[in-house]
Amino acid sequence: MHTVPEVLRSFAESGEEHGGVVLVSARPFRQDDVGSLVDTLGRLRALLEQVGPRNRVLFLERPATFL
Amino acid sequence: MSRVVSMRLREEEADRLLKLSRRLRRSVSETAALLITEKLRGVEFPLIEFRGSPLGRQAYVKGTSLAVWEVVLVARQLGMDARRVAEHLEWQEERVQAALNYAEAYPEEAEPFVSEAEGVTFERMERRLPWLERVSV
Repeated sequence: MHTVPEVLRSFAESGEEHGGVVLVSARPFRQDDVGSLVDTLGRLRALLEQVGPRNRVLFLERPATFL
Repeated sequence: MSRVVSMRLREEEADRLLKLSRRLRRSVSETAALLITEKLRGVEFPLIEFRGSPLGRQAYVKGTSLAVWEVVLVARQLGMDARRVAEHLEWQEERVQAALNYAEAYPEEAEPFVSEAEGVTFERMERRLPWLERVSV
């Protein structure tokens, strides 16, 4: 979260393409709750297969029902 | 508070110090002070070392890819329990404890990075990346 945004900005400014980036905040996903994170990423993958991830920058939030 | 300390270096070491100061874009005096400070801290905390990073020079846990502040970030989510952090990272507990001890000794180093990472929200990130998309699945 400290450095990736700057990399993405430079990509955008130079027109460089990327395969898609998902930013995940440290707060809603407990570090040792790998199962929930994997489960969420699995559902996100299904969504991205529909819309296509290329050059997208997503901020993944946990559904309120999981908080 | 600082004090001026003069020292004598061999010609070769002085040249290397000058080259390093150019690379770090610091004065020779600043670079020498940095190296001495880091070495003294390394003596105090043998499992901690200093590396250049995109965020500047930072304290890292030796033999790992994590900076001290990143270990603290994980530890805060695990009740500052070194054993749980060690299990989660699959590290020896001594490494985790070294990071936590260092962070406690020099809180001004880790705390700003931990706070910033913990305070990341979509709204704050969107200011830096206006094309950011919020997704919840």
